[in-house]
Amino acid sequence: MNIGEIVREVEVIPESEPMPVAEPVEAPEATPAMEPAQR
Amino acid sequence: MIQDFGREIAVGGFRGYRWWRAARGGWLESPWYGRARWDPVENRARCLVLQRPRRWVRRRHPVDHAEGPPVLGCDCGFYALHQPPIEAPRETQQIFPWQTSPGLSGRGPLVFGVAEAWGRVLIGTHGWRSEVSRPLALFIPQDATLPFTDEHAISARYRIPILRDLRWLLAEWGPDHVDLARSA
Repeated sequence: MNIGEIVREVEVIPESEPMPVAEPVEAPEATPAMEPAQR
Repeated sequence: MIQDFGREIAVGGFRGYRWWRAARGGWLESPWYGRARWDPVENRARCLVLQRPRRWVRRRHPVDHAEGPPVLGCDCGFYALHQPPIEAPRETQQIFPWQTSPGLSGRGPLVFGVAEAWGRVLIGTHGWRSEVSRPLALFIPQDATLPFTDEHAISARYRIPILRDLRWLLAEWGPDHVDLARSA
């Protein structure tokens, strides 16, 4: 078939397939709470 | 020169119009180049044909494209059109046999219908080429004269709608409008 001039390239994911998900990003370590200042 | 378009991501299959050959046992085959038999669920393209100036030649072995078909600089992949084909003069049909009126579906071995594409899809101004495809729906009129099979065998094998009126196929199964402009 003659499909004419190619103008776009698309990666088509079927609806039944899950969308690719970005790798989970590790949460940064919690900053240690400040010690209460000693009086 | 081969242009690098970058690759967009879309969800849900692309649809397009195309022809199949209705073969014995209710199988649908690619009608002109290679007679590949279509699986009802999923068909992965292989690069098997070489286009010469006026005719296509079947290769002995599949071409091993690094990314698999379809490739921009080649002619491989499953084909379909954004719009139903318009009947061309007979001499034109000898070179471009798909330019046959969809109204002639089932008046011989060819049947007209809608295919779905996914995987890598190259979108052209008149149609697409895809990595993966399957038949979605067919138009076979009530008084069809299929020489090798019948619509019951096709329906049993593919479990897809077979519509008796071309207008129903176009209205219910035709492709959505394809945006030909590149997204930014």
